[in-house]
Amino acid sequence: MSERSKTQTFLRIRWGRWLAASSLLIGALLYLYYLYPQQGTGPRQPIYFSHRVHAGVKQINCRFCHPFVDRSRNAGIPAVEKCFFCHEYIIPQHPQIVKEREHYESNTPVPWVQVYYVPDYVKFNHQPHILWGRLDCTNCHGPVQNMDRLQPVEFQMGFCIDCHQQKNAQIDCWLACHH
Amino acid sequence: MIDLGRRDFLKLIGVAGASATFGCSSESARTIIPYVFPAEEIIPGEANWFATTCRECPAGCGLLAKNRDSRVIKIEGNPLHPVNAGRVCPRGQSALHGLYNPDRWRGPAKRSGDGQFAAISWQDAEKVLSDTVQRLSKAGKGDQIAFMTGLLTGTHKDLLEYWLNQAGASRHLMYEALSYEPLRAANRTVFGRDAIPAYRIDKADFLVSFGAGFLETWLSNVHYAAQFAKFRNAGGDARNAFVYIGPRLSMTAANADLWIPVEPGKEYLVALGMLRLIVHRELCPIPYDRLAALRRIVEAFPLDQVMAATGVEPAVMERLAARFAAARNPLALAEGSGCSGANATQAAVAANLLCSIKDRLYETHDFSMHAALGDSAPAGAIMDLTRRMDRGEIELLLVHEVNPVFTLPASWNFRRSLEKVPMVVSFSSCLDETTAMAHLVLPAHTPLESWGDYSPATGIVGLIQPVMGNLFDTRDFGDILISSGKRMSGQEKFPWVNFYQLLRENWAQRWQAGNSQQSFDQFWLQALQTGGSWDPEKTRGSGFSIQIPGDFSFPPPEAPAAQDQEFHFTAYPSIQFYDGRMANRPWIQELPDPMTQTTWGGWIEIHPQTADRLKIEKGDLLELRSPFGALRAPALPIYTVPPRTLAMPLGQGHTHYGRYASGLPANPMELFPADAAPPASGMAGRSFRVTVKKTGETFAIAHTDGSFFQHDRQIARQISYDGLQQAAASGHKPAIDYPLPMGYEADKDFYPAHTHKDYRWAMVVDLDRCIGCGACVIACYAENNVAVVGREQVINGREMSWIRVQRYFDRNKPVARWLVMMCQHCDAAPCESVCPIFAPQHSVEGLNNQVYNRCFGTRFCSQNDPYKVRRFNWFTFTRPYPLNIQLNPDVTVRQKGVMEKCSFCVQRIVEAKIEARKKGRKVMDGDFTTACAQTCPTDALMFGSLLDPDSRVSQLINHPRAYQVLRHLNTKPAVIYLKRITQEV
Repeated sequence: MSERSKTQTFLRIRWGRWLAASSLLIGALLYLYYLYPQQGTGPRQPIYFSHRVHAGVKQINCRFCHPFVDRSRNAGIPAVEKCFFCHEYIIPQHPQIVKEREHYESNTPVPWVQVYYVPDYVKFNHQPHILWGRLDCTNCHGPVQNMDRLQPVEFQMGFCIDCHQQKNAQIDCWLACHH
Repeated sequence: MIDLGRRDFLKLIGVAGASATFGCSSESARTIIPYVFPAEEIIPGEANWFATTCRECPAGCGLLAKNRDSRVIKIEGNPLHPVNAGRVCPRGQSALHGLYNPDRWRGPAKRSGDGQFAAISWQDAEKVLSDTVQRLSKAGKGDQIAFMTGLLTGTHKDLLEYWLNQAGASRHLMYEALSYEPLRAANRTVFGRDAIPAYRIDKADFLVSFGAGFLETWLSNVHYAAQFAKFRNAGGDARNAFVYIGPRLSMTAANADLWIPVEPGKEYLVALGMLRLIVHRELCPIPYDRLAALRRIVEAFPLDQVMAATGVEPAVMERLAARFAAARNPLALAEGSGCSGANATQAAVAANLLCSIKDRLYETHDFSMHAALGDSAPAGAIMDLTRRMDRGEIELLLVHEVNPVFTLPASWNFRRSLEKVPMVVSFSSCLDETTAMAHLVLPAHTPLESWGDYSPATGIVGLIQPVMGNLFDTRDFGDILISSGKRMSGQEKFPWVNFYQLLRENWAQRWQAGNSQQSFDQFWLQALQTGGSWDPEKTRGSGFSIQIPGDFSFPPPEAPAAQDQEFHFTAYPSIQFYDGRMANRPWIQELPDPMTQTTWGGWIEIHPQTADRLKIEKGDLLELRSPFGALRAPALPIYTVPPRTLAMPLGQGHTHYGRYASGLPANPMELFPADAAPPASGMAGRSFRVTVKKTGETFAIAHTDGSFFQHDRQIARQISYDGLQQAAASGHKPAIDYPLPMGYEADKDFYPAHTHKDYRWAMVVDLDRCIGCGACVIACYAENNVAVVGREQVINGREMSWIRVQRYFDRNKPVARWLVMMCQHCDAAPCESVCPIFAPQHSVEGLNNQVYNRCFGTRFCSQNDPYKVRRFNWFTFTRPYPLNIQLNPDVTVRQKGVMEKCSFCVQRIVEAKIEARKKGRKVMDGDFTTACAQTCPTDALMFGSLLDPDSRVSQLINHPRAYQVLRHLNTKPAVIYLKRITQEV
């Protein structure tokens, strides 16, 4: 074998290894990003609350638990007390309800994990979207009535702008969102 | 390049991958915390406003505190309140920094042998306190207990005195460093009233101030600033004139039509000189009963001697006397504070005598309303306490929110005396110089967390309510008194569950006395909502007798000494620091002083000529020496003082007042004498001189002004009153480039006109109303999350304020004026055209948007901005806990590498539009305003839309005084200025 072809073989092996390593890496990352179990399920909550059961099966109106959606920036998260409007009577012995009751009785709020959020430099306000945009909650939050654990929505700017343009809403940077 | 082997690289990737999988899975770190039980009337994300009373100084303004999600984020004035009518000064705005101060006590503490404080429980702390009190009261040593507090009234005062009474004690001293005792003495002498009345500047038509800084700290500065604005714009043909006589061109003096500099302590001579002219030349009819006595008094003050002693020109004195005599309701005010100079009582008496030449002075002196300040402890009582402490006659000293170690002249030796007190208990919320010497600290809530009431003047009672839950393990001052009282003398003597119950009981008595139709609960609720109880229709102007004192002696005029080495000295309370209690507020430290534009640290004002002569440069550390003490502070050559006078602000020079105040130069109280002899019973009555020595060291002055002068640029303009009259009569139209499509001129405009939808926001700044106080600046800091950068970065020119109050001196005469400068929201904005990524862009409502998330920090915009209002974040400025709680959630907190600037409070615009739309209409003029305009005590700032022809800004844009700053650049600013009016006196 000539000196030249030796070098070529060496290079091939070297490049081959790099190729293998990087494709393995990319494969692993793709797997972790898209296929790893429960990627599409959304964060695990401290209490296993199911929107599918409450909003889907039981058909409870969103505003029963999120009452401030047309009155404030925040839709509001239900007080612990509110769970026991029903669960005083409905499956009070369920382990998750028992856990919730511990919070209730020890006066400690449940640290719900936030699923939907926008960056700090976006000043989102629910009010106009409900009052004048006439949007349904699911327009932005997805079909929550079908989800046990809520899946996050990536609110990229295009998501907002498309709708704002269609509905002829405010598209000025500051006056709309970024102040 | 890191030398990384293949194996290491793969290992690293493995670790990174694993941590990506397990460390940061889809679970977000954000949590939403619900209520367990929903709080009534709280909507998350919507602000609630609570009315309370400001306790940052004795003025007692009404406040509205904006509570958003249980955190107070902004303070505004209570529009219903009779003292401040919706406005607050920079100190009131910064009450938030008292509440959120990172140097507050986290809980009770006890000082151990080595001088360090160690945390103890409330139970133990209260036990130590009540045991000590019990021991003393059982031994019959009640008179060895003393309680020093700031000025208290109402329920707090009653409870405290009851508490002391139960302990067999009675020594309660309400110590205010600025107690204005000479005013009281003078009113007793001339008007027979031992009180401080409500002065009515708005009823006067000629005003002379003998050093009274009524726009800064004097008695009730927001109240008097509003009155002053009314006084100035009284309407009619004439413009009321204001003359200031004092040793320094203060902020108040710079608002006068004429400043007459005199040596500190010689103000009374000018008053007597005027009086002599009026009496001898019979310039106006003087009530017969006073004439002879007045003649007798002025006998000893021949005009030539007065003029020689004061240096006031005869023609000036004659003009002053003539104007004063000719006015219908002339008013003469005196500062009445010994720290500014000697003879404070004499000046106050002389001012009162001047007023007494008129019959109708009850219109300007309302003795039916006494200022609560009149109840503060006289200097003699404080001196007595100091002597007793020094002799070991005080066993227990209790202090609440007062700092006599810092605010008393060092020559009183209060510190040394305090060391001899075996037990010192402090209830203050922060460590300060006095509390640092306490043995036991039981920290009380700050006023914003407390219940209480405070009556700044007769007939006005402000209610204090907690505007948020308490931050730390502190307690309501009233609750501490009640629970320690229970320990001390039993449940039956202190039957109240807490202070709140006692307060309600007290207010129930007020309700009964009022004979109102409401139930008590309605009455209480109304008081909570309106901020207290007062009667706006109260009859005013009760008469009072005037007795010209026969025995009051004025020191004879003495000619100025001709020594070159010695200087006159005056120390003055400034609008930022008051008596020094505000120094631990970062906003206040960062606020440029109105006259010197200096931040972070004290200074010695010295006339530039004198500085040249002594080869002193800015920042040279000087040693000042008086017969009573010495201090070191940097020199600041500036035109605010005459050549032979030095001036220093009070309030700096702390040693134990937290991270923001400690270690900055210097406390002028080091220089003052220790005499408190009546009748000059204000502190530091004697006049003295100081000597100056260069130390060879320097301490850089962190000032924000580029120059003293405008260099003929016509930035802050003025117009004479006569000139204005002529302009108005001739129908003169100002030259304004309208920031509207109609302002487009094809021959000079490069860019096409902008069209605006519904609104074109604009601001009018009336420079004639602006008093330079800086309230707007602090309001902006609070509203817009503007970062405090600290001394070092201010020296580097990197301060972040969105709005600033620029001060300019005149070249030829000692006159200063201000220009409020913020983003001009130009219609042809130079900043917009140079940004490579359109981070600044013109909005449909005329705002010049700065999009933070788009900006990547080229700083081209700032370079091309002629107004220099853009601020670049050189660092990510952080706020130590709990200061970060104050941040306004409606405004993005900017980070490193981003440009920012005034937004015309766009978050308020957005909110107002939502509110208006809910009502089915457009935003109307007056629906809302910006944070700066909201707080302006004199209404100098006006905000509105130019597309509304009836809005205030549309009305004023064509005013004969209107102009635009740097109009020749054709930027078409949307901030229109109204020229300052000048007149000769």
